[in-house]
Formats: sequence, C-alpha cells, structure tokens
Amino acid sequence: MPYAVLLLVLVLTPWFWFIVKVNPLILLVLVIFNFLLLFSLIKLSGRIINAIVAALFAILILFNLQQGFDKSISAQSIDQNISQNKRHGYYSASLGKLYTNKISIYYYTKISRPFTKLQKNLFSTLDLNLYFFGSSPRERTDVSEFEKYSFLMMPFFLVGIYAVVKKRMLSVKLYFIAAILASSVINANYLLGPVLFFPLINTVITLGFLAVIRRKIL
Amino acid sequence: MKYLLILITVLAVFLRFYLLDQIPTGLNVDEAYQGYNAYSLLQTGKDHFGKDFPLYFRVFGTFQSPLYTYLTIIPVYLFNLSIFSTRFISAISGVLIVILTYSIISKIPRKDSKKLALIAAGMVTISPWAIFFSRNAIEANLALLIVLAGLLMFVLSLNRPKLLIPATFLFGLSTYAYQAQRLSTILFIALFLIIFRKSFRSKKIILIAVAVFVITQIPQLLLIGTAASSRRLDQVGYWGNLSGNALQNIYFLTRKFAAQYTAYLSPKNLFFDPDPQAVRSIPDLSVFYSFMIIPFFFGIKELLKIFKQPVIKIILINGLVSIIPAALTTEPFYTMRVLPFLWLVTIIIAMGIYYRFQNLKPNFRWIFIAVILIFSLGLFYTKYFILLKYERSLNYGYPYIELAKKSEQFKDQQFVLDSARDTSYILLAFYKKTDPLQFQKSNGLKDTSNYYSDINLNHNYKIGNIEMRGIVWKDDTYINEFLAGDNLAISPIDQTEHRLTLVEDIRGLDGSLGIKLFTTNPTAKRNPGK
Repeated sequence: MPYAVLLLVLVLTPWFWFIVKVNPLILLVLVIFNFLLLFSLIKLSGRIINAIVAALFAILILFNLQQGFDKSISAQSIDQNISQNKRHGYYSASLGKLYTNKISIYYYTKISRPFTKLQKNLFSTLDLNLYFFGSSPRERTDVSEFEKYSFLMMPFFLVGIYAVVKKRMLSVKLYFIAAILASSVINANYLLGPVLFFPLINTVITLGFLAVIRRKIL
Repeated sequence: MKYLLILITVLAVFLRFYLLDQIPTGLNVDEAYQGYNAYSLLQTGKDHFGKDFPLYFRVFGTFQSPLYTYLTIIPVYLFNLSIFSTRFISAISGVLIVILTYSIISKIPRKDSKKLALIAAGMVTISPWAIFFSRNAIEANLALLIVLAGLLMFVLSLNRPKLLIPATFLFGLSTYAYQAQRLSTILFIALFLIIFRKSFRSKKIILIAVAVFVITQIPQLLLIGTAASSRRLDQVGYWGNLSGNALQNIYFLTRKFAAQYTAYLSPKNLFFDPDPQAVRSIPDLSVFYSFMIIPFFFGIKELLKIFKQPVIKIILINGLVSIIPAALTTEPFYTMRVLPFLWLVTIIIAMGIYYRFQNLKPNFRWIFIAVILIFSLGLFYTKYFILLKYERSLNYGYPYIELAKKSEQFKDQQFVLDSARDTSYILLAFYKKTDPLQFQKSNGLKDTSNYYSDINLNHNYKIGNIEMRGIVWKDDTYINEFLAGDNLAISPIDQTEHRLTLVEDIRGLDGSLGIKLFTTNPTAKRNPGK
C-alpha cells in the first residue's frame, strides 16, 4: 500500500514530469532513492538499506553540487558593489571606530555578502509556496518558477510533517538538515529546482496520505 | 522574577522610544493622516476635511479606523503636533504588549510557566516586527494590544466566566482599531465558544457576552453598504478577477487563498525575505532574525506536546485566524495585517529557546541569553537605526520636511508642487503645522453628508503658501514663484524651455532625488531672445 501511494504521488506531481523532460537519468535515481527512503522509514531497520539510502543521497548531493553550484556566492555584481560602497559610508558615519577597524571591515567586505547569499539559497528552499504554488504570491524575478506539486497535496504534506515530528523520525530530520545545508551552496535558479527535497516531500506526502486513510500515524 | 520583568520592560521602552522622532526619518502618509487628523480634532472638533468626529477617517481614496486617531489627541495635546506625539500611542502599545505577553503566557498551567513567560516577553521585546511596528504610527499595533488584552480575558474567563464579557467587549473595540479585526474577531469568538462551550455552564453569560460584542458593532453596522465599510476590501481583494465557470472560480479562489495564507507560514518570508513594501519593512531584515528559525523549529516540537492546553489553544486559534483577512487580499506577505500571528510565532520561538535553554548548565544559560541579546540588538541597530534611516528616508517623506522648511523660509512667496503623481499634501500640512481651520476652509469638503460614500479624490490642495496641483506652464512660468516636482513633472527640457532656475535638488538621506525645486523667471520667459 505505501509504495502504491508513493507511486501515485510521484505520477501526480508536475515536478516528476518536469524532471523527466530535463534529465530522465537523474529522475530514475531520485525515484529509486525515494522508494528506498520510504522502505527504510517503514521498516525502521536494516543497516544495509540505510547505508544504500545514505550512499544514494550522497551521490544526489554531489550531482546537484556539480550541476547547480552557486558560483556567485563569492562574486558581486556592479549594483551590489555600488550598494555595498554606499552602505560602507552609512556604517562609517554612524559607527565610527566601531566599524572602521580591520575586523569589522573584513567581516563586512569578505564575509557578510557571501553569508547573505548562502542564507538566500538556503531560505529559498524553505518555502511551501515554492513547492505548492510556483512561488505565488512572491514570484522571484530572476528564477523561472513552476508549480512542483498541486496545492491539493499540501494538506497531506502538513499531516505528514506532523507524523514525522510525532514519530521522531531521526533519519528524515537528518535528511532535512543535510538537504538544506547542501541547498545553501546550490543556486536558487537551478533548472530542476531544489531536487534534493523531491524524495523527501514525496515521502512526507505519502506518510500524510497514509495517516489520513488509516486515521492514525504510520 | 519581578526584577527581570522590569528589566525587560525598560529595554522595551528604550527600543521603542529611543530616537522615535528621528528614525524612521519622517513620516509615511498614513502616519501623517493619524497625526494631523488628531491635531485637527483637538483644535476644531473636526477632521481635516471638516467632518465632525467621524467614525472612519476619510484619507486619500480610502478610510482609516478611528481609534488610533482619537487616542492620538492625548499625546498631541501633551506634546504638540510632532512625529513623536503621532507615534506615541503605537510605541506605548508596544511596551504594553510586552507586559501582556508575560501575563498571558504565565497563565499556562505549568510550574515553569513564569520563566517561559519571561523569555516570551523578552523575545517580543527584541523581535524586529515588534520594534518596527511600535515605532510607526499604525493602527495594527494598537489593535494587537487590545486583542492581547482580550485574549487574557478569554483565558481568565475559563475559570471566571464573567470575564467573557470584557473579553468580547475588547475584541469588539479592536475592530475600531484596525479593519482586518472585523473578520478575525468574529471567527475567533465563534471558534472559542464552540471549543470551550463546556467551560461555561451559564448560557446567560455567553448570551450577554455575544450581545456586548454585537452592541459594539452597531455603529459600524450602520455604515454597511458605504465606501467606508467596504472600500478597503474592494481595493485589496481579488474577487474582481473572477471569470469563467463556477468550478474554475472555486478552484481559482481556493488556490489563491491557500497561496496567500501559506505565504505567511513560509519560513523564507518570516526569517529572511522582508515584506515587499518599503514602508513596512527594514532593509535586509524580515520580521524575525534569521537565526530564530532554529528555535522556531524546536518551538513547534514543544508546541505539539502541549497544544491541548487551553491557553495554547486560544493563542493558536487567534494567531491562525488572524491570517484569514490578510489572505483574502492580493498583497503578498503584508505583515502589518497579521501582527497577532507574528506574536504567536514569537511565542513559539520563545518556547524553542526556553526548552533548549533547560538543557544547559546554569552558567551557560546566562551566556546563551547574553549572546542572543547582543547579536539580535547589534543586527537590529545596523539594519534599522543605520540602513533604514538612510535607505528609507524617501519612503518616509523626508524631502517634504525640507520643502516645508523652504516654504517657511520664503513665507512671502508662492510654491506650486506638482500633484500629478504626488498625494503627499498631508505631509506638508503636518510639517507646516497648518492651522486646521484654515486647511478645512481651503481644502475641506463643502458638503460632508456624503463623507462615508464619496471617494472621489481631490488632487488640488492649498497648504499655506504651497499649492498642490498640476503645473500650468502657460500661466505659472509668467509669475514669480517656486515650482517643485520630481524629474517627470519638471524635466530638463521643461527647465530650459521655461527658463527655470534650479534652487535645490531635495534628496533623501541616501542621495536619491526626491523633489526638484525651481524658481520661475518671468522676465526671461517673456523675452526669450534676451
């Protein structure tokens, strides 16, 4: 039953068909990984399965890093340079020595901007609207947006999240943390979208769907 | 515990009142309406259009809820008309919100609830949204204060049913503080009475409480059908976009509502991407510091453990219901409309911090708190007191302060400010402290009987020696006067063609052009060859 539901979720999601068009091979890896992930969660045992899941996940991360690494993290556009120089002036005028010392200047010119970009990438993945509404109502101008899941699946997703928190599914939490950390260095404009979350969201929707049908958390 | 609460309150006072008259630099148009209408009421008993004590205040093309304006009469009386007195009610509301937060959270029936309440009060004190909105003269912050006072009464009413009456009265009152409350209060009261019906054995109390709420709504009900009652929703709703068959419309509306609602729950919006409107946000800082996402996730876990507690249920319902009116409008992530929800998120963050904090050794707890405090306030200082001051000075009408000064400097000369795109007459009336009686005579409504239904806009105003209207080139350039406007109103070609002399580019603090001020040169204009 859970695998049939996962299959149904997969074929019903527009994201699935989008990845098919762009890169069928990566979709195959994602789907296999997705089934293994669900299997490992349901069985809650099996070191070999867990090891395979971890290995496949590592491969997916490496693939994503290779394809979508954000090269602009340490670079700055002309507009950003102008804005930074202006702000440099505001800070100097307002903070005096507190700002015009080596440490503060180094932080501001070398660390602050890349750190903000990492945060931007990271937070762009933590947005339900990105997955269920094609980022509506806050569409990004520099990204080609597409609806990844029908919004009708969102209630199942929320129930699934509740199930994950209630059942203390450590592997899902570890997956989530690893995926968001990896996403911070992947360009928010990456063609396939935040695909590292693809198996996770499918799994959570499946868990939510099962919880609704069975009227109890898996 | 008491001393810590006093310390937190002192910090809240400092963060809300420090340089209140200087940052943000100037006023946004809505704030100016609040202040000037209060000034006008104090001086004449009428608003700036000449209407006696209105129920809604007519402003440019829409209507403002009345409570903030009426309360602002007190600080305007005490401190005269100023940016400080206009923002005073919001700032004091911000401080009282901190104290009410402590009062509500300490009612959670757990032995450590007072400690959690302190952390919650502390988080409200330092949260960017809470400071930001307390430093703007906005009705929503006053509404939040009244809602929290009402919530406290609802919580207490579970043990003392008679308190249900002041609770519904306060919720009724909140609808006069902010328009979004008109829907959310009804939804909250209905849900509260359904969920907690068993707590009230006497149905008489429920009936009286509901009757009190209905009575508070009578003045508003009398205006149903007028623009004052529905104009705001007409302006911001997405109902007008309906086309196609019923099924398509249902799908469109459901999806739109869900998307708007979800946007308020999005961690990206709450912790990273600020409100898209410049006057409602701080540069590069959303409603919460981005690091708060970690305690937020921990807090959700804690919340799920105790969400059956009545106090938690009440604040959850109120927070989630408060998003509904905002989700019925087109503007994305309009933070000002969901302050009760932002307050709920702050409580969740406080829970996350508090329960993690329990795992630390006592000495580390203080270090932990000190780090959070220094980091948060340092970040807030740089983003708000520095970046916002410079980068948002145009949004807060800073150039109008300078223009008002110029017009006072050249009292005997006439100024014409182009009004084709500019609707900021109220800023000039505010900064020039124009006599309200004189303002009403020059610009007021001749007939106020259609005050609540007529929404036609007047684009021409006379404020002392400044006229706001379209520039009439064939006339104005032949009179000795000042002409003011932006680059589109007075282009470089106009300047050459009409022999204008640039007096000053009035700029925002970040150097962006606000208003160009010229003098005319009638002699040169009449004799183009010379």
